[in-house]
Amino acid sequence: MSTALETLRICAFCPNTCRPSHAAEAWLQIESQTPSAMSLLALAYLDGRLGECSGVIEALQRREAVRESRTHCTYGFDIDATLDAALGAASQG
Amino acid sequence: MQSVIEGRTAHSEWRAEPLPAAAAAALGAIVGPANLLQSIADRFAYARDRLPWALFQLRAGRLPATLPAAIVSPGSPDELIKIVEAANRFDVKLIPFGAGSGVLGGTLPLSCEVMVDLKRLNCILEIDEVDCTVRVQAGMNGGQFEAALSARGYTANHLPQSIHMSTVGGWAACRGAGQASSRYGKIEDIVIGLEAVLPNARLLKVRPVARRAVGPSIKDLMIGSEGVFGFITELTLRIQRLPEYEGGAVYAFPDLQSGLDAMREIVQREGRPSVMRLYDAPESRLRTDGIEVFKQRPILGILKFSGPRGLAIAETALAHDICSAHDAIAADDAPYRHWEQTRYQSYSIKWQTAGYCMDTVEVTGSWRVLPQMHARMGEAVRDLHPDAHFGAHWSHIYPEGACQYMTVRLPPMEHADAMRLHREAWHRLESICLELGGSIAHHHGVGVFRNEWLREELGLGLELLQILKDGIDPRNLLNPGKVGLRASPGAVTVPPADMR
Repeated sequence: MSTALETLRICAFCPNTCRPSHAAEAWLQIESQTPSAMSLLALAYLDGRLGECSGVIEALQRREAVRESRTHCTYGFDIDATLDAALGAASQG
Repeated sequence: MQSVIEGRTAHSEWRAEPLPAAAAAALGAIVGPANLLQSIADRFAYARDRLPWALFQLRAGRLPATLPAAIVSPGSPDELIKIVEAANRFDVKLIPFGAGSGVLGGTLPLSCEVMVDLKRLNCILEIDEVDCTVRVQAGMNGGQFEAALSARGYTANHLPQSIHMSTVGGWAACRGAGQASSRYGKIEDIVIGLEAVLPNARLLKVRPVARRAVGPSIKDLMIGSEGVFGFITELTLRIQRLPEYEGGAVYAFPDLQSGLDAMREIVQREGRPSVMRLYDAPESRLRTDGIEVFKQRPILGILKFSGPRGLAIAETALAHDICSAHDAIAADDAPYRHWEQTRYQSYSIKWQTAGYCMDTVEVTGSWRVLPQMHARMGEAVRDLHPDAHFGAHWSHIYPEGACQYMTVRLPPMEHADAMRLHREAWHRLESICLELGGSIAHHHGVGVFRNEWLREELGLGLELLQILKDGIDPRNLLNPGKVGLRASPGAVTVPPADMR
């Protein structure tokens, strides 16, 4: 869990160097779907700043762009798996 | 007035006025429901750009400014025109948004504006191989743009470190610079025409021509306007054929003055390396560890020569003669190769995630004042805290002067203390720059974070900009409060007055 959180913190404050991994198509260009935004959202959800009524659960399920970025991360992170680990651990208390 | 959960503010306490229902219905009808985002989570994701101060707030669990009221993503210039018409009808304020890589807060919502995400306008429209120009929509990703040009044998030679995390329109909106600016110029030298949607929803067209003499440059009203005068929708840029030859050279200089003198002399003698980089001692040390020659000559200079082989070889020889005349020694090219490998990466992540406050400040100085500017600014930052880091390099080199690009890093400390010192560092750097006759911004723009110092640089010019703004945008609909211009009533200030 702590490793996953540390990875999310790095990703959340990274300026999205993986951005070109997303195809130049409309749906995938939405900011809140980029890995950095998803990491920011996950951290805010996990520390209680974003409640469930904020739409954060739905937002965190939109993983297309995160999956596309897997092999393009400057730091070698798999943010899709990291999100699963962090959110899964949180749901198990 | 924010409630606190374990030291962090909860979303129910953020300033987050929603988009009125009638306006939301109108915008949704234009772009379709999937391209209008209104959830708190989506709005939170758009509530920042890469302004380090905003990052420090998020890291501390605080919202940098307000949440945007919504995010709307037009799929065509026509849709954008309709969005601006609706904004006029419903008195909705708009902020253009590209990839959010700006570092001065130019897209921070100060009063719950609507973000207009332009990334669906992401196509190359035409490559003219006779004129060597490209027409491109503003929302196209920079890295994808260059890749598409490269596949056709061309480059725009606008190659910022942020190329993969920025849009072509964003380059123009903030008057950016790429790493090859010393040869090919900044974006204002590369753009020859554009289209933009004005606040009254009319489409401005600046036809693409090499040069003109038809009054003051309308193009330059938009380039660097950061969205306060209109939405750039399309740009025509100069392009060049991919270089026949590329080669790097590394020099070790005995001191900073000799390095600055060599860089100045190269460009003043009409040499135009595509890349020119000179680092001060702290920045050089980070890049030359273990290379013997730098023990005696600690200042690193990196040059890159590109273009037709004969021309590049001649420029290489000219630069070598000049550097040698300034007591530099040609060194192993490992620093050049490392720079090439990492030129589009961000160096700040490891520091920001470890609790440091790292920021960069880029100013322009004349050759006459640059040595003094560097010495005084370094002293001013180091005087703030015993563990404060100050380093600088010069990588946008012109016959009359250069950009001094500085990295400032404060060690982890209590948030309020860090914010006070961070602000003081900015104040000292910009004040010294103004005192020495420089420009407070070379290519990052003004955004909101530099508002405080803009008036002293522009003087009457800022009043002129406000008059233009009032004429073009009398209801202050587009990106209010940025580039030193009037904010909306009730807008938050960044940073808040009590943090200045």
